Amino acid sequence: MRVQRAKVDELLNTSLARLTAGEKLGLTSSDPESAADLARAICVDQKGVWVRVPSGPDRLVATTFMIARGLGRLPWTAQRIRQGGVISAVEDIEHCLDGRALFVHGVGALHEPTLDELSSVYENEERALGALFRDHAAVTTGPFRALEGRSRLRADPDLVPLRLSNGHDQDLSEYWDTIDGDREHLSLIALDAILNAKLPDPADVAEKRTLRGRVWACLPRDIRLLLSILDAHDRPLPGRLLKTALRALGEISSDEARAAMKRAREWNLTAEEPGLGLTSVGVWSSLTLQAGGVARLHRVLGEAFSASFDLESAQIDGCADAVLEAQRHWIAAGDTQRAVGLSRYGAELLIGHARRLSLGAKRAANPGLFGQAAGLYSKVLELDDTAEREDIRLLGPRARAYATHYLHYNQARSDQVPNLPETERGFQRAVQPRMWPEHAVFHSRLALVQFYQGRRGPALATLRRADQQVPAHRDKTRKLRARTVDRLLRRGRVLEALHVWEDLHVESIAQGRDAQDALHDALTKGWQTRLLWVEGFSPSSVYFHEPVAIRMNIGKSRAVAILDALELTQRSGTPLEALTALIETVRAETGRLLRTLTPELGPAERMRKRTFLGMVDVVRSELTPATAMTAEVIGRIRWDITEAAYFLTAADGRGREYKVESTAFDGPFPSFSADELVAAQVRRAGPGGPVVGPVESIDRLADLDDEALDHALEKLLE
Amino acid sequence: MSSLSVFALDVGQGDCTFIVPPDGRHAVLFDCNDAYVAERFVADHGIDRITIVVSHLDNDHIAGLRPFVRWCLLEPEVEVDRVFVARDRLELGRRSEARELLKYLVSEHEAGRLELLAPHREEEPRPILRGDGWSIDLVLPWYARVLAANVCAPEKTNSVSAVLRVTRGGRAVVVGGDAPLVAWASLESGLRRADVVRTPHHGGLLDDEPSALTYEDLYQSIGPKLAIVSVGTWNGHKHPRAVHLDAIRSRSCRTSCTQLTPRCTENPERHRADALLRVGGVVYPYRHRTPDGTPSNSAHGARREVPCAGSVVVWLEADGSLEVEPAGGGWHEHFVHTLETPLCVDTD
Repeated sequence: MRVQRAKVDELLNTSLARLTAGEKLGLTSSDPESAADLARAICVDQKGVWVRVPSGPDRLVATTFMIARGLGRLPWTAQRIRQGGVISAVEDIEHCLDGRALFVHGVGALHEPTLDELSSVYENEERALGALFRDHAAVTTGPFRALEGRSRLRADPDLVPLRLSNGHDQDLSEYWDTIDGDREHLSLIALDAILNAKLPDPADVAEKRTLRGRVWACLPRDIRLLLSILDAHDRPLPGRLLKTALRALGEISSDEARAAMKRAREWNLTAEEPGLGLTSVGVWSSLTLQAGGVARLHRVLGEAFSASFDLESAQIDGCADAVLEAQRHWIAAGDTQRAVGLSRYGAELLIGHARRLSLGAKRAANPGLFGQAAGLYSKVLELDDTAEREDIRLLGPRARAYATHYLHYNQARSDQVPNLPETERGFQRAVQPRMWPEHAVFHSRLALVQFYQGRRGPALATLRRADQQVPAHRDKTRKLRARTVDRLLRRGRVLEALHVWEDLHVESIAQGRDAQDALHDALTKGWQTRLLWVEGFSPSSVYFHEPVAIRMNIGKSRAVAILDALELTQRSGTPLEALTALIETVRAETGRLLRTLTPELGPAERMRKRTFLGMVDVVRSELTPATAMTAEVIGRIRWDITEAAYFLTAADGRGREYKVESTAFDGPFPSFSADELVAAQVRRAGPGGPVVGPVESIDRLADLDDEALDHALEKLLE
Repeated sequence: MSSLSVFALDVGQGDCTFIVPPDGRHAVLFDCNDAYVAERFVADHGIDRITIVVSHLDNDHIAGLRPFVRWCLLEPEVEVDRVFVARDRLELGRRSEARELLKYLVSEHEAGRLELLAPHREEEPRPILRGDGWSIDLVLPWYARVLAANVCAPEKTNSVSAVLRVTRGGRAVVVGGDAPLVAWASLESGLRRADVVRTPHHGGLLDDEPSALTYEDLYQSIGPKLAIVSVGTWNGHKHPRAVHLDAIRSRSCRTSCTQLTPRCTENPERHRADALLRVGGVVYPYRHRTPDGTPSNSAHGARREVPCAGSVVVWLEADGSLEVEPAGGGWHEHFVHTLETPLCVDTD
């Protein structure tokens, strides 16, 4: 069956003429396959190097391998990647191109938007490949901003040849207008006609979806399996590996597999990517990749690729692309252990998989998956440590920072009670100078985990430092300031959010307007807190025994902080200034009432004293006059076998016990008997604060014998 | 400062009373069960000189005394000038807390850092501190009784317990240690009469020695308007006893217990937060608001004390006026009325 091949040769000739004149072509079409067909035809004519940019976290390494294979330099490129990463390999490739042009299909996938944060991990590598394409790609398909400036050539679908073979020629061009020049639709009509031996009425052509289902149902089993394999692979697949996989999957002979591949090509169900392999044509994935069988497809492909190389061989770098593909399929099959063993040319796939697990955990609210993600990040870092000892570069600085940060992020999310100090240490490492100090979100999370531990000063210092380290970009303020404010507000940490908002430099007031509105709403609505504090103002805090309600009225130039429970208001220029004034007032008034003997106060003030001293924690607020750091406690020493430590039991009848520091004893073993009273110096919580322990020193009581005591007391009675 | 104030501090089961004369700087401390509470009272209010009277040597009256005296002697701004202390507990255990306290005080006395005196009176009440129109006097025990107790009944420590009488403008407050009825009977009736009494022995039994004086007689002869009971929530002696409260109520006298006990409510701890919000009108409730260390394994160790009136202050003015905080008709009366079986209220 044929479609009219009008002007195809003319279009090819036009394109070649332009290339000869030094133009570079960007091919576009409403039908991507049309552009690909034309590009392939030009590439074959020009003996260029065909590249298809795939999707996935390994797309940069995989693309580099494709070019290297086209140039016959795969082993050297693979070695360069192990030693210096993609950028180093791209530099090598550029030197070796020697006038050969690149033909890049699907160039837009280089900037894969779905990878989001992960794509910026490999930003520099991506930029290096983009520059290579910009300088050496003669023809590209797909939109790519960096390659703008080249001549655009529209490859109209109605100019593209189509041939479906069933041994009979028949013109299908009469259907062309009916289906608005949709090549896939025409292909389905033709296939339906071949499989059912009946052409439809041109005025009554079924919809694509209906036709696709009908054709799929009629396709032979081996063809269906073949299409499933190609869709699962989702990249050009060398014919020999397709055959291997097809034989394994369909349990068929080599001849049967070869026949199926031939028939698929004749029915226009597959296309040959020059030098790379076969891909499926048409949208079959909704039928081929139905749930249940996908993992098996990937396992079969993983086995097929794994059988194509020997990891221990000295020539392994010549199969680098196969190693990468095997790793990809083992991950997709859920066999992470086998995938880990194939991390020879980087850990992008493992990181990508860990990220998917983490996102899945968030969507499904499944802490178990966070744990799996953390485990994988941990494994990646372990592999990198091992590689580093052998002078191999598995992760670049950013990838290592990324893995470090998300190891601790996922670990914290997986734990019921996160180890926040450990998380903070991990987050700190990720923003060290040689890691990724420019990452705004990493700094934001570090500050948050510090806030959650009550480490307010370090948290604000983190954000100030981040403000210096994160370069100016359009999202900087939003990610550093607005994001942090938003997360704090979600946890009801209004005061921390206010500090962050007022503390950080503002590049653009428009960024994070939503966060500002939310903050003002929260301040106006009020919040409950047991601690009122202002960073950098000393003494900076007031602790309350029970949560009190704080609210604010915020105008354009004035803010009023209101503490209804103590009937206090303070007005100032900004919310933070008003809050500072409020804290000063609470502290001053509480201190005054604490120091004044009640009889000196009038009736109203007595009531005020009752209210203030009932609510304000004067000890934690350090409002008590300072006295010594230790206090004497009389008691007895006891040995606790469970804790393997000595304790002082106070003899005041309240049952208080304080642990004894080992340095409290003069010698290695105490010589006090169990019933002997001793005088111990016990640490207070602060100067003048309550006695909390531990015991710092122990003294024997007054060394006065009983006779002398009796004598002295008798003298008192005289 | 122009008032003469008597602060019965909340120290749980035990006593700790500060009497602060009008100058506000030199105070008298009567017993000390909690060194930290006493220390904070002195430091918070800028008191720089202290005279100490030890009623007797039971542990609930002296448990905090040694640490407190030691703290005072180490603090540059605070001076202890005299300590009145008896020797009643001497025969009870050779290593007892009382004996150790006495050894310590004698050592400091002999080192010249404080003056040690015996707390008893002879013909006249013994002045502890006096000023223009006010006086703090020791009215019990008699010297003869102290001598007798030392010779005949050293185990009956309460019988020689000291009692202070604070007077100004024709008003009086008596602060009883653990003095029994027989001791009170020996006190001149004019010296018994007072507007406020700090109930002896935490509202516990006073009749372990035969006496002609009954509980009713005692309170009738004192004629108080307010009785302050210094008692701990989890005391194991069933303090305060109904025999006290009945006698007090029959005199239309108001009662303020420093802490709430299971005798007035089934579950004292349920009222803790409510009470703690209100008791700061006298002093900050350090005993309740600061960490207690690790509770012991004793039956009551892990339970938390609960204030009722908390610390109570009575102050006397030169013109004869007398005020109290918490005041009558205020939050404390309302609080008491929320309890199921308050002993201080006639619920029949």
